Amino acid sequence: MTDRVNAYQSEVLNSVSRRSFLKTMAAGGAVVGGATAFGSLLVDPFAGASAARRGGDLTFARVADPQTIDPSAAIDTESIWTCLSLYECLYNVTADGHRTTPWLAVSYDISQDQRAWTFHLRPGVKFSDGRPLDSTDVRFTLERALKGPNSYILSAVNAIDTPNASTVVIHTAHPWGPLLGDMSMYSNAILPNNLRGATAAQFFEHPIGTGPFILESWTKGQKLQMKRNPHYWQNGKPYLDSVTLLTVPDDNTRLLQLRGGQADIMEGAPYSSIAALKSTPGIDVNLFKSSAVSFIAMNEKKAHFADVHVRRAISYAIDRATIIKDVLFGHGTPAASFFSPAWPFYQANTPKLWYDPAAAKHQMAMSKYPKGFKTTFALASGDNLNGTIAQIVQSNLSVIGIDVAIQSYDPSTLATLQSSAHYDMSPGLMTLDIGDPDENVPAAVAGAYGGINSAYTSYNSAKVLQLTHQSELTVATAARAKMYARIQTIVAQDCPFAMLYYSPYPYAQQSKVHGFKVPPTGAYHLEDVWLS
Amino acid sequence: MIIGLALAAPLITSYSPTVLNPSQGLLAPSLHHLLGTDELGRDVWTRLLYGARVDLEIAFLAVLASFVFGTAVGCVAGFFGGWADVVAMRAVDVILAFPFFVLVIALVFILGPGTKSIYIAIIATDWVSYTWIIRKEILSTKRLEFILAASALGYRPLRIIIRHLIPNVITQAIVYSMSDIVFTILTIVTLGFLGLGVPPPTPEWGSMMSDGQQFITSHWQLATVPGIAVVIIGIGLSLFGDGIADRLRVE
Repeated sequence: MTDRVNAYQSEVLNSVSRRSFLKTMAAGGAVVGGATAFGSLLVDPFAGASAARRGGDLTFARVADPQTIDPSAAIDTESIWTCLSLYECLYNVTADGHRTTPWLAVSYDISQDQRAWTFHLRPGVKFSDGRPLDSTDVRFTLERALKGPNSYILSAVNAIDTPNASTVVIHTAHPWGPLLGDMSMYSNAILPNNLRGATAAQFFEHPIGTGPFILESWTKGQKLQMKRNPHYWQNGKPYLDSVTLLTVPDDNTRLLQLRGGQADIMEGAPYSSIAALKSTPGIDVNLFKSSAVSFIAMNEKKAHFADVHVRRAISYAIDRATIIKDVLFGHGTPAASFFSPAWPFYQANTPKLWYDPAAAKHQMAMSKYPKGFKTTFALASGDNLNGTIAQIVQSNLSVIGIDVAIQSYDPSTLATLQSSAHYDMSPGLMTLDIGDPDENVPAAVAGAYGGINSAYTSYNSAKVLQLTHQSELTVATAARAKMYARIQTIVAQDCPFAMLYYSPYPYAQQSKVHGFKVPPTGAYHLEDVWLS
Repeated sequence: MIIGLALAAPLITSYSPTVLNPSQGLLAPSLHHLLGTDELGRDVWTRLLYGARVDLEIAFLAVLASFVFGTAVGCVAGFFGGWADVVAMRAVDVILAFPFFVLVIALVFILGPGTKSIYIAIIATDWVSYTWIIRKEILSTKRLEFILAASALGYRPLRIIIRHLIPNVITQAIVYSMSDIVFTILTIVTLGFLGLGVPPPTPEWGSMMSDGQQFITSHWQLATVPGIAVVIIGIGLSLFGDGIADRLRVE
């Protein structure tokens, strides 16, 4: 799970823990959603690219530099989204984020005891060096990922068999519902067997993958250039000859580059500029539905927040409409569930503890602190977005007698305060990278089991923990949906987080760019992009 | 004039600098809001005035404290010499060895954000300049005959320092303190801009610039106006300092 805390020019809160929870993300992700008519074997679930023109170079201004192009080591969003243009997974996420769709695999069978998953690889897939994909590559990749920082995603995997070149069998210790989603995880993107004999350091200088593009050059901190993979398996794709990813942390600079034509696509368009950009001729703004969920974490290790009535009172006291209007300029929706509507198994009728001053006062009266108390709100220095939210929350909570002092810290200090539970309230952001909520649920709400004590809130619920385990051990989708609905309801009532809003990925682009879509995971399919 | 405006802030404006008014966010300048409102609906003119209060108050008090402490240490070091001088001057050397901003930012990080930390960080790094100036002056002045005469008369050291030395060596430090205030205001504004300054919602020029930066393409006045205020007060205080220097020299 990624909790990406905005990395604005300022950015970045970033603590990487087992579930890479506080993943850094610049204010916005980009995304492309749809694969358009790929290979003849697949039905195109998205818009067809009828008049797509081949050729051209795309310049893409992003908020931050990737940290790595080794998919098994990636934990920040820019690395993840870059890796997924170079390498691909067995399964991918659909455009709505709710399901998985076959990608390098075409289908799977599951054994009677639900412990052996047989994947059939897509015929005709070649790596960028021209050699065909086979089952040994998959086995090597998964075994390598098991040693990486995202190995938790494969925790149920026991053994990987390769009965023949086009078949992979994954054995799990017990039935494991999220397995297909796990196969869509970026850290399981397929690398060639044994890295073609190279060491990891050598290999990632000139990496080989099945993705639409090949790394050409990377000047760290400035730009990363990719060129077309001539052996790409989707007919006629990619359309672009090359892609240049520029690293431009400053929002205003990115904006000027887009307006001046030096950039074709801009990531993280500032919400305040969206109205002006929309009316600029030649520029299109796209707010793609994202998996991002914003909330305020409340530390239950502190006596005030151990009281459920206090937590509910805070949730009732926060005026989400004002936050969405002032911070997102109206481009967001208030959140009740800690699942975003773009996650699988989102439950729309989760209880809503929304702005209701009377209910807030009632909850405070029932708490151990009916007269209120003093507390703090910790955020990263330079984080303007959460700084504005903090001031609104401060004003809202003063109504119910809670006196909030806003404290800013440098990002690494803040991450330490959060992971060591030495904070009162702090903002958080979660995004989902795969087609299964199990990437996030254990870390967000299942206490010690998820590795980061319920997103550093120390929230513990025996029922939620039990349902989390049960949903992992269940393969049937309908049964899992019920369990996740139950989890969302319990969490909303226990209120470990004051849920704020669901925000989109704000992208702006030149009108000559076509086919740029971003799925809720944020990992765009650059092979579908073309220039007119 | 800015100081006057800052002191009179509650009389000049009828808005609160901190109360949010979300329905009035990002209004353009008008007769009701001379400089418009920020994203949370607060009047920018009001925040500018109250921000001046905050920045000037911290700068004046921090410089005053540095001035007093630094001068005291400088007098002791310069007058008595010996181990007192060695200890004081090694402390000065250690602090001067670090770039000023690096040291201030490091101290604020260590102490945690807040007004108290800013005071401590500025005073802890700023006193050394006064010590340095005063000690140097005292070393040359104490050999002059009137001081030797005072000693010969048997006056106690404290009386000699306060009655005879300080009036003769303080001019340099006063002139320096004028430019120091400008520099200290810049430091406070820089800390605010970096998000290490006075915690919100207290208005402060640096954090106003930082908050306004995101709207620079649509509402340029939010970030620009506090910047202009810093420039004006910087030039104003520098000229004032020059004036004082001239006046004192004439005498």
